[in-house]
Amino acid sequence: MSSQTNKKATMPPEEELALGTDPIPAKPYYCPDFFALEREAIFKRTWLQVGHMSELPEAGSFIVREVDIANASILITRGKDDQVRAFHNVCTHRGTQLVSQKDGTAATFTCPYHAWTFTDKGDLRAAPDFERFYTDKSQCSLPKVSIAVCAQLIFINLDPTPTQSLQEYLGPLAAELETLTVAHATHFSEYVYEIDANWKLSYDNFQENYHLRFIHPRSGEAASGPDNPFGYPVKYGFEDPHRTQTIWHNPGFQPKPTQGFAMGKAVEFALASGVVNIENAKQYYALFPNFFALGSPTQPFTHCIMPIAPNKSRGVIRIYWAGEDQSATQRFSREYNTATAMDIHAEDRSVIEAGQRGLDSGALKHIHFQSQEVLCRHLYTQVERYVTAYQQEQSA
Amino acid sequence: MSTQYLPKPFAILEPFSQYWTANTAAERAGCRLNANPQEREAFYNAVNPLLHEALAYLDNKAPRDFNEQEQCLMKMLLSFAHIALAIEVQGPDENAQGTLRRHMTITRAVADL
Repeated sequence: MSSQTNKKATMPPEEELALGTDPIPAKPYYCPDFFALEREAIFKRTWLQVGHMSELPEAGSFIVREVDIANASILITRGKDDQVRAFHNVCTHRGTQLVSQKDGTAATFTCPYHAWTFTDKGDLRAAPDFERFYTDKSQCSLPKVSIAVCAQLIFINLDPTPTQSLQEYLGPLAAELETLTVAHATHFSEYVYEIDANWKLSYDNFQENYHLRFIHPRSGEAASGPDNPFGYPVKYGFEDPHRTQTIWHNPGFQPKPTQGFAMGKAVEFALASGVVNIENAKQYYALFPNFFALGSPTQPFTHCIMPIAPNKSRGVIRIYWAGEDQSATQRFSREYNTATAMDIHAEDRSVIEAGQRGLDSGALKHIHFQSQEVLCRHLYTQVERYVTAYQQEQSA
Repeated sequence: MSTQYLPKPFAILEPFSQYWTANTAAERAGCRLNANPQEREAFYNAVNPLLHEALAYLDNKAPRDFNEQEQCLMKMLLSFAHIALAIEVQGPDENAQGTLRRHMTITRAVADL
């Protein structure tokens, strides 16, 4: 990056001006009342990424996903008709959680309490001594949840009548997601973590590069260098409520021997697979409210940060692969690149939790975002927009 | 040297075949966390010169067709992937970085399937 480009990159982008430059209130990052508003205004009525079609490989496959912030357990089935459906995982008799496994294959689901049995379409098929009830089976189907798929990623929406389809919600980013490895993936590696931090604080860490040189001095060498010491992105993009960045790569980066080998092989395999669009290799997508996807062919990861409590979240990171391991070298490369991504993600933990402890004290009324933390500012403005709209609806 | 666990050309790595051949990626990450610096270095120094030769040897077959000895060698090379990060990238920060990595749980890996 030339010094002229660098100077230009540190100027507030036009989009940022539209977002304002004032400090951001600190309370939304720890306040239980604000968290409760986010539950209703955002997580109960936006599209949430919860899975991948490779988890439902055949008719009869099912997965169960917990949406902690909404106290919701969601059963997702692939029926005999190949249709993918989502339901609240609750028996319609007396509310017992229906399925306790995380995934599996089943044509029917039987409640452990009184043996009510449901089909993979959510219909009540049988219930012992049902003639003694004062209802009929058509009134006892599992409660449906809206579901849609983009780039093989499964999204649900807890709003019974979503105001937008998933395609409308994602806008032009839907087509871009279809070019990524995840859209062609058949396998994935996964690692998870729980962290004592508000979901926005945790999410913000992963959408700004200002911290790279301090927190990732060894693992982040490829992403910053003398021409761009903070590793600021080449470009930002805004597709409300989502945002993107184009990652800068240090041209002087000298990989370590095994690193160079494993990453080089990953690129080689990705190109040979024919499913990688190099144009989007440096694109990092931040889908509102809590999902990231990276276009990189060596580490094509997604990262979902699920709120659990005002100061607790769960991260699920997946690295997607097209096809099973064809060779030892491919297997080695995938293991190395997964471990690399996990090293980097692990390094952020202590500073995120330290940030939460500071905010929990209530000592700060405001926090400050610089121009290269514009994506954090954008997330907050979107959260505020959704919460305000919800409050207006409630008071109308 | 008699070979028990590994293919003959890699018998020299036999002393590492007990600890560094864990079955899953999560266990391999655990081996990295629980090994001391001397153990990490000894394993790295032993496998590093043979890495490409061992991968080329295994690349003659699809992973699903590996016999027991080949599987054992594969697992050792996968452990090396973790240890190469510790030695080459993290270096003196490995122990401190490990305290953060303990909070990450590998729940699925393609090599485990």
